[in-house]
Amino acid sequence: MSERPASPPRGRAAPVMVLCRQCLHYVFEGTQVCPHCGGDARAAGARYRDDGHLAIETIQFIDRAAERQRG
Amino acid sequence: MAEPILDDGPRRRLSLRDQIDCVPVYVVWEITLACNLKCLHCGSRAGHRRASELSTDECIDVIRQLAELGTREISIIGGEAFVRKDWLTLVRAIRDHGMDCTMQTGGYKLSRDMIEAAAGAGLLGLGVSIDGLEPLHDRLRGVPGSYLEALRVLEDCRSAGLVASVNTQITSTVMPELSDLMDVIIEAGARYWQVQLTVAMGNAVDNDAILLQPYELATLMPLLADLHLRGRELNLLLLPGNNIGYFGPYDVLWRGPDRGYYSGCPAGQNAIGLEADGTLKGCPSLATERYGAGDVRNTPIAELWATHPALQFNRDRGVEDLWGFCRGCYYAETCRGGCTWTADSLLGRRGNNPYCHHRVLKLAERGIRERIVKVEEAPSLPFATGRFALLEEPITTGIALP
Repeated sequence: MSERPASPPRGRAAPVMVLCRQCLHYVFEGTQVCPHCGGDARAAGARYRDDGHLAIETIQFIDRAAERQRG
Repeated sequence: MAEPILDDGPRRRLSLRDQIDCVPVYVVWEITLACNLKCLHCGSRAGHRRASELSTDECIDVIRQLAELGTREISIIGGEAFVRKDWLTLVRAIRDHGMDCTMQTGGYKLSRDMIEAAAGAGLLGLGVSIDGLEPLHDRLRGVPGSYLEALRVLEDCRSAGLVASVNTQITSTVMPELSDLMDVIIEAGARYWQVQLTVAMGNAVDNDAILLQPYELATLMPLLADLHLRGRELNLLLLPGNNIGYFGPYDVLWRGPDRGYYSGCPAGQNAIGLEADGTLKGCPSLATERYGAGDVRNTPIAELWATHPALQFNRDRGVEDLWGFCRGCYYAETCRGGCTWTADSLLGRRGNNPYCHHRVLKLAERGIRERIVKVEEAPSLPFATGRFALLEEPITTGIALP
């Protein structure tokens, strides 16, 4: 078997997607006007709050920030 | 061929770092092509063992190499994995190297003693294939009695303390049975239920009437959403396979923020497939002819993983690699055409996947639906593909809109 050391592979990470806080379709992070429902993608709607997505996405935001800081 | 995914527990969840560093988090390993079922949809045309399957010692060396590469879970499949005499040795070796081990099975002739021995060896979960109620399942699996055996295996798993899951192939005839099937598998002790569209490969090309038409996702996806919600109340988690997608109105249910959104096909970036003769691929189901990346007997896995062109296709894949509807889709950059296996097997080229709920709904807004028609048979080889034409036609009946 060959013993030639392999260089570490590199891959592309998927863009960050978040939920439209009105219609719960995914949109790209930073989207203001939802391309699906036309609503304000950042303003928390009833379904977004009631289904617990606000809390979940807040935790994910913190996780991503920590990961970026770790490099 | 068994289905590769059991559930999407935390160890399998991909971090940003996993994606960038191309960590092969999840490995699906066909440890033998021998099988005791004769499935009409089997992509690998399993039945007889391959001419030169890896020896026990060679398998243990593969396990060592995968552990060094950062693999966190190995799922053993077949053929029928337990037909191989040393399968428990391999389960134990995987666990001894610090990785999770799961197994996918048809369950036929998998005895209670074998299940208890597997639990003792460290197997964490067993995924059992059940493709419909008894008449449909036995017809698709080609062996009378295989349905009752599969249910018995689920019950034996419960007795042995093993997490039991069910994998179901979504064929053209199963939809009316899914609700009753869910009740049956809950009663039998299943905790997870993964559904996966049957893909146009191998035996499924020969029997193409069993393939779902892309436009039928308009009916299927609301049904799955209902089942998912009902399953949650009954302690059964319905999970989507890699080819159930993408970004439609129900994705938030099964790929919601707490589970991670669909971030593209992981084949060759965070997943490895291994054939029993040592052929390495980015996914166990991909066509060997186009995606075989060499033999682990001849080259270290780390070297193949880092350098072989047949494993690179997803790593820096962008919108420019997509075609057809997928090329102009809002989600193109993230989704990248969804499941490589599904698209590539169907159309002979990855990057355009008609089995997408978002796409079906967008086309429906224009009064169009897509239909597949077989134009070329598949050769009589494992993982062989035929060719299908993709036709657009006007919608003449109503379509289920969310």
